[in-house]
Amino acid sequence: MVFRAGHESYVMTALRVMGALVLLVAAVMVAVVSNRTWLLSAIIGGLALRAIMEGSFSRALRSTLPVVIFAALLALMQWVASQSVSSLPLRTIAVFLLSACAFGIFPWAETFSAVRPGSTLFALVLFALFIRHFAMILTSESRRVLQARSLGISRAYGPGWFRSLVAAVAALIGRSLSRAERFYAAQSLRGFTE
Amino acid sequence: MKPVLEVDNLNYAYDSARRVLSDITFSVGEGECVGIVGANGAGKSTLLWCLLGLLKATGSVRFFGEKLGKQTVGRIGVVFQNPEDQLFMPRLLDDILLPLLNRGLLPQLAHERALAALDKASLREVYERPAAQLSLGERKRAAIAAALAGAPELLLLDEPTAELDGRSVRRVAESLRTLTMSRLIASHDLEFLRGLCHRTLVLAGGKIIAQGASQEILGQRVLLEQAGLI
Repeated sequence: MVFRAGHESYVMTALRVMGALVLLVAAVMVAVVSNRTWLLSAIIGGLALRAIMEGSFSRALRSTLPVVIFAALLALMQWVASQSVSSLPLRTIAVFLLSACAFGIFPWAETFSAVRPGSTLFALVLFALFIRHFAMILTSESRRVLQARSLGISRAYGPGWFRSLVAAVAALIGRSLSRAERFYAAQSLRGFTE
Repeated sequence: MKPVLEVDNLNYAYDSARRVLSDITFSVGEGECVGIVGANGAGKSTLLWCLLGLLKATGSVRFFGEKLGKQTVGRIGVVFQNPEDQLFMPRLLDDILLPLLNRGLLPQLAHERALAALDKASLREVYERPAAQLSLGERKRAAIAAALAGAPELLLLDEPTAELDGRSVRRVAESLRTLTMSRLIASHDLEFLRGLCHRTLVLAGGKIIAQGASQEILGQRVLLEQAGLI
């Protein structure tokens, strides 16, 4: 280790690494489970943890909304195609919540300082940081676009609520893509994408 | 003055109906600071992206006489309009360190250089924090520090003063004024460019409609009106 980040104790750092790993393993397990009770428990647990980390339950809910919408569309398409809905939409939400918690808990600064530059682990940490940044872009853009929508409509379910929701999600995809593209361009100029 | 960057007959269109840049020709000399001024949508950012090869334009872009490509682009420092596009690490220090480590610098040396860059940008006291927790002015200065840490021979800046308050603009201007390498700054902040750039190009409708000494160009009211700047 060259230098150490922050003022956190080694024990705390180790606990955060273990917590993140447990959550990641849980996310992988949830991805292959089809029992809906288990999936719902994972979603409730993930939401509660996100609420603690964000300091607000409504913020945790808001940042999960795009994934919930995506899962709902997925369920709708399944129902239209076969008149039945699998556990895939629930799994999607559960995996997202658990992975988001794992990424939030993981001690990124300490890990980055501890790995040897140029090593495979360094590249892996960098890759994970890229993913984390993309997730943050998606979260921040979803917050902004939903905020803009809520300012534009006076009644939650008044005329145009669904159209505005669809437009907000479409705008979210466009904005996230354009920000992700700029981020990729900036990093490619720094030589990190090869 | 030896040319660092030579742009000759650069053209770019998003599609056949939307031509964004036409016949762009200019150069940036060694140690020279050149401003690109233009209204919103004039093509300033697109021009920078084309220069860096992020958008495929026709024409020629030469850096120290060599065709600009993957080998040479690493010698250019870039500051994007939105600093969040550049800063993503868990600590500001890591954002500055990363390109240095990536180039194979010894960690201790990279650490010293990164801290020096943060000192220069007056950001030493916030280096443990992630960029997302800093003010916009601090983030802009951090993005400049990250670009400068790699000791570039040319610095490209896209709207470095966008959305900044007066004090932050002054601090950014101060940090850029002391630099000795060539600089190309795209902005629509006329006062900022007047105080900083030796020469200014006026971009309107994707074309350079005028270029010359900043004091002279930025004093031409009719020209600036024509370019939609006032």
